[in-house]
Amino acid sequence: MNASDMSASKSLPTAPAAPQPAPLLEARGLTLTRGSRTLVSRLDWQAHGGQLWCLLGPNGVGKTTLLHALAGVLPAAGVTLDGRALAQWDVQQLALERGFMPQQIHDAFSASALDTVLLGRHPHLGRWDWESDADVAIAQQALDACGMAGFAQRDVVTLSGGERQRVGLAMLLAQQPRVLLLDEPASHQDLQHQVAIFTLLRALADGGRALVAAVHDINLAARFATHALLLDGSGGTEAGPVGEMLTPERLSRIFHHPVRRIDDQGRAWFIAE
Amino acid sequence: MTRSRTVATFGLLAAAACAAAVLSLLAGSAAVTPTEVWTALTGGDAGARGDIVLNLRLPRALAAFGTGALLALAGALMQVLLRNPLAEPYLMGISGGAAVGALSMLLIGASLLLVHAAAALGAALAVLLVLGLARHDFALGAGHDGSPRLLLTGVIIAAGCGAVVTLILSVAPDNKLRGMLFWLMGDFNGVDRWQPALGGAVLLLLLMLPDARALNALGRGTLAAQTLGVNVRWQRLRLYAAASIATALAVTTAGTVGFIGLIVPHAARLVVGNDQRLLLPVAVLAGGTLLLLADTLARTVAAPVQLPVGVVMAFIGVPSFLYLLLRRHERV
Repeated sequence: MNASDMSASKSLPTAPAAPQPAPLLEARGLTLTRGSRTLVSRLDWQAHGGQLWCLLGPNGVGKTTLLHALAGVLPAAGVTLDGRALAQWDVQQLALERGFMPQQIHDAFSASALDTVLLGRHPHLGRWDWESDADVAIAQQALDACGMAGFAQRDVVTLSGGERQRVGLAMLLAQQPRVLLLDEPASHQDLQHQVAIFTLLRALADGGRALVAAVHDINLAARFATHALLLDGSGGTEAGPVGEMLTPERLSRIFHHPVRRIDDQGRAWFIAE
Repeated sequence: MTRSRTVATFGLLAAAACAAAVLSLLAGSAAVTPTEVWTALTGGDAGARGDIVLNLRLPRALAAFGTGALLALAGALMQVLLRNPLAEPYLMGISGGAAVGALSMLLIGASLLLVHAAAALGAALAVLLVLGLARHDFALGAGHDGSPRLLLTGVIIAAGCGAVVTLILSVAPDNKLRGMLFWLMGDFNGVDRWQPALGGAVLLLLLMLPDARALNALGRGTLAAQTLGVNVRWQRLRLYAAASIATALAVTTAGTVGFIGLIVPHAARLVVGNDQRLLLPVAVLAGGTLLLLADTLARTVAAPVQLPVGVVMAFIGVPSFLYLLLRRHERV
């Protein structure tokens, strides 16, 4: 397998419409606490179709917690999708609009990669429906797009961590939501797959979807994201276009470690001192 | 699973179930010919041997099939609920609660009806206790899976019931011990009420089948299932309720027959994969057939002595489970 299979998918179904004026996902006065710590304090933030947000911050600042709140799996007041509070959404209707890729999935049972990706079609199917040929085609295309074309019949419990992560991403693609939330989608990937996955994510954003991904690699964020949301771990947040947000000063402060910027061939690179 | 393989699997299982039923009606200390069985079943007069078939062997066979089906269904559901392929129906204290109820009634020498009723009550109390203590663990936890604590709560309740059972056994007079041991091993001797077991198995399967795809999603974890549109808390409560009712119906019919709820879903998974839409009906058919065969063996192999079916199941269950376990280990 090589990364060229993963070129961002024209074959994937296109998202509805161009960027809309109203935000798809919005946080208004969102506050998240864990124990006595305030992770996010009164966050006002909007994500529109066409945007790929990266969520940056050191370990334990609450990136995952924030993603859970935005996904609606952690009850939190102040998050709306399409102008409607997440708590007001029917669970299945919500699953048609937003998808979430957790950081790690532990597969308790054997299943083929294709069957696993087909689970992404769950919200699209009625109670008694079985997956149609069209659903299978969507799942197979999603596997192809994630560089897993030849893995359809492989048992997920025999896959490597990186391969399993790409099955998880394929499942999210098969779900076809307008808002995609991803918790470190490339953390287990080698170099070529990191680039391929973020190329794919950026193409989805360019196609009109809204994406929010927690990321550890500043350079992947700088290269592929359109916007960045930085968490400082004490409730403070900063959000804006990626070019404005990623400065050595700000990154040094957020990560509590000096960060230097190097310019090469028209692209900015950030390295730890 | 291809369509033709699915059809072949179900065809084979249905044929095996019918063969087991015929065998159970023919086999026994009173020799009955196939013609007499046929005459009795079709309402003709086959004399005393017709009575044996209709009033003794048939109800017992139906009860055994229903009980096996219930336990296999409960095992499959518990494995999804706890996301653990080694989970089984008795793990969470239902059988323990039922045993405390049944043995208490056996101790005071109550009627069989009271034994059944107390077993049902004990099972219900154990379920309510687990539900009350672990009610928060059915919900979706942010980032963690509630299953380990739910499992541990159930295991501790089961251990507590086990202590009470031991206490009852140690104070029981000798002449009552045999009945208690047979109840604990699982036994169909004298069972004539088959309707709750068989009816319950069919009804619960039909109730859970529409949920089967959501159960597949739950296999990926509560977080994944919730974001795929499954109402996790509600679905897991339904799962627990269905598994509990199935287990309670099974143990009130025949006592605590072991191994069926563990090995049948496991073996079914090896044949049809982990799609619950196929796994649940296959487990129900296979569980019923296996327990029916085991019971036929239990009452014929050492005739005129009748063994408790639980002993036969253990002799079948231990080696087959070890085989499945080691085979699985090799594969991974």
